[in-house]
Amino acid sequence: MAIIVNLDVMMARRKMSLTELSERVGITMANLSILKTGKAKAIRFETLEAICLVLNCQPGDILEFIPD
Amino acid sequence: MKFKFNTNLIVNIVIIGYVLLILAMYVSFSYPSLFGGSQSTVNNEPFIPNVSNNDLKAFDEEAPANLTSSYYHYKQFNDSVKTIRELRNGEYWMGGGQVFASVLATEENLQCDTCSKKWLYDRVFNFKEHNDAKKYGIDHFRWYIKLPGWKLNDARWALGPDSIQFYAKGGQSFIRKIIVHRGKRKDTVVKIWNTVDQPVKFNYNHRDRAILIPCSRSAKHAVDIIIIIVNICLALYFLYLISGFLKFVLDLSKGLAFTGKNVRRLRLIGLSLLIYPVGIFALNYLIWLIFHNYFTEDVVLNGNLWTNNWKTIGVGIVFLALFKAFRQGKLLKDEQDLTV
Repeated sequence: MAIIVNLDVMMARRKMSLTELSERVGITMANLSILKTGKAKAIRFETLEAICLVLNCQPGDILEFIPD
Repeated sequence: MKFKFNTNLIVNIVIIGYVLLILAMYVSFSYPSLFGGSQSTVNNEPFIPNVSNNDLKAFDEEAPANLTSSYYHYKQFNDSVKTIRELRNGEYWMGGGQVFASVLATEENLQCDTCSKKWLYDRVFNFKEHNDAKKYGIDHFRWYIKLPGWKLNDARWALGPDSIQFYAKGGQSFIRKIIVHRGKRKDTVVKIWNTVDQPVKFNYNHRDRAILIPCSRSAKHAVDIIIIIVNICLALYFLYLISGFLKFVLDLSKGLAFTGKNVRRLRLIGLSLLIYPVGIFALNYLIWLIFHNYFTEDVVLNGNLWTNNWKTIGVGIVFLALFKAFRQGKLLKDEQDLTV
């Protein structure tokens, strides 16, 4: 897929574990794992907003477009 | 009332086609002359009288003059005529046959040209012998491959021009049919109806309106075994389909509606229900290819095939529609599951 999720990069920069992020964002580990591994088909604005708030970043820092 | 067309193209085509069909039927019945029907007066053709040439002997016994004595005697006579006709035609059913849908079956019948009702009833009620072959005489047994999908093109009302009757005499089968042609009687053009007897290679089961192909006893037993095996396989397959449907209902009750298994089950059931009637028609045409040497132009496909199978086609279409709906549901569910 052309949209790359750089969540693991941002988590490493913020030195935050998946467990901590899931607790602070309020979504399950399974869903966060789907997002991190790039299996997700869609992301809700509210989830994106919560992640950006916790990681103190912009949506563009998490999502990146690379043409196939 | 405002008529609103559906936006779906196929639905519109079906509606328009249906309306056109009704209109065409109405016009063809009301004005048959437009389609070259019998009431044509375009050429100012004079009325042509019908003349019947029915000089062939009736194949059933004539009613005796004193038959009107009682209704009981009338019924007895009728019963006797029917039994004797069945014996002579080789369609007096003795049982022992197998049936595979409306495609293939077998029959074991009695055939006797000179036997009376008394002869038959003596054997049924007064003989101590349990072996049928000894009781009725093995020479009187006939074995047939029955083709329920094929029948004579007989008109069931009175004796119309299309009416065809089957009968047998001395073991030879005939069809009696009416041929209409124009001729002259006393300088007048008339339509002459000639009744002709045409020898045929098949026999006929009037009860089920099915063609019977004479065969040997061993051939009948071989076909019996094939039919039993095919029927067992078919029954197992239908059990598998039913179990699939029950599992689908159980999954629905558990709230597991849009799963890959359910989608596959619905597709299998829908396709099977649609393929079954198509297969029945295809097998009947295969039967025609195999036995076409026995058939004449008066043997036609049995209309019961359609009346027996249209419900199956309908249920199959419903299941395929359900399959489409559940497949779409599964797609949406998968998408929903992968939305974070």
